[in-house]
Amino acid sequence: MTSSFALALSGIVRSMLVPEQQAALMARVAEQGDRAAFSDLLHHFAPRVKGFLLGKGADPSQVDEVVQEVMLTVWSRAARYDAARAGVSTWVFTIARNRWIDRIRKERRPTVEANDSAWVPSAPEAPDEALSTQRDQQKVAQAMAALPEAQRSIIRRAYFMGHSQRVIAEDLGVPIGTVKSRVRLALGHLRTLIDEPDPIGASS
Amino acid sequence: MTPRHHLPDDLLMAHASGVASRGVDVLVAAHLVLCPGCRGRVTELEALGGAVLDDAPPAALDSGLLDGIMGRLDEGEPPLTHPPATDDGRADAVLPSGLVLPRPIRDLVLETDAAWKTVVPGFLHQLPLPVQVGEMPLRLIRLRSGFVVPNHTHRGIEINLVLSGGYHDEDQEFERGDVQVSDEEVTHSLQIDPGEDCVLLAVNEAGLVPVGFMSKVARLITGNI
Repeated sequence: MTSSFALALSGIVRSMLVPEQQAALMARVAEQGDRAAFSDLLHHFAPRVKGFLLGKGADPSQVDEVVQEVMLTVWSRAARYDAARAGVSTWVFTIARNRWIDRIRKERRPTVEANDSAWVPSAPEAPDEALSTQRDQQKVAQAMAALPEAQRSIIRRAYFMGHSQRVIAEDLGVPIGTVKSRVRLALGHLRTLIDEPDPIGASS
Repeated sequence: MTPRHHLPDDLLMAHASGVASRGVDVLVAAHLVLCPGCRGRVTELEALGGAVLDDAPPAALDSGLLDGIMGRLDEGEPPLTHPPATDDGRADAVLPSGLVLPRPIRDLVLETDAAWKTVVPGFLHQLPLPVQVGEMPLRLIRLRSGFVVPNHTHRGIEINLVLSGGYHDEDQEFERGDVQVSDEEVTHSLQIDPGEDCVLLAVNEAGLVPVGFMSKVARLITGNI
């Protein structure tokens, strides 16, 4: 085996982290600057961020550097990570997405922030509506796994491969309307699965 | 007041996943500034992105890469190549006065030297905004109150975001924050509401196709938008 294959194999065996594990590790990074905890997150996310960027068409000669920038950003911003707003993988996804736009599309991502003079504020959340986002992340993952393959694959293609609906339609040889309705079905299905109340006695 | 006409899921998803063209991305972002409901939808779609990332097949990494990252932890956050613009007020010089525009639009105006162009003298003016070469054009359009955009359909997609004033077509009324998405299946004429000018942000994939009698106004519009 080549050393990179061996590393990847040992990495896969070591590195699968579920949302709860990611949250615990991230808390140790944020609160204590725990490098061993960061290393565990690194082994989970770096290969997946790389796969994500390659799937979007990133140049293989550039992608390693972008992966480094993403993971160094995760480390540097750990204290700003807000577990109440997003799961760890969602946060890492947004960092990877924004670095992709900056480095590969060579653009600034438009800023959507509450200090915008035109901002229309959200209604304040009722306290009992504020769900644990880690539980949400777990539910989203389970809901994705529960989707029919045709719907899951369209969602994956849109995110993972960065394909527009037009490209997906051409690839699949179907009208764009079919792709749109499959996306609508998939998102509706996901919403239903995610909104299902937890069974009584489920841990939070 | 929150908008009544929102972005469809496919556009929200393109923005959440980072695949939208620049014009569409800016229009979506501008609507999000004005629409808490769609912001909530984008948060859900980003959570989906997180799930897709966790589910992604891990790519092989060179053996030195992870060690290299661990060795660089003390360097601090790597700077972006294209950081957010500083809003120095220059955008106010070219934007209609008194109009509070979402930052994504102001930031883009900062990047252009373009000036307002007359399309229909006295009634319709446009300001092209910079997008990537080959991508769908984006423009600010200012229409005089009471003006009628003649009956037309579209080649490709048209997305309008109302920023001030309002308009209605045969079916619906659109005001600040509202989005209208139209395509080859939609034929309509737009009636600008009385009282104040209407300012729109518009993406037009491939222009307007006049339907019926081609008046001089229709000729001017289809030649330029």
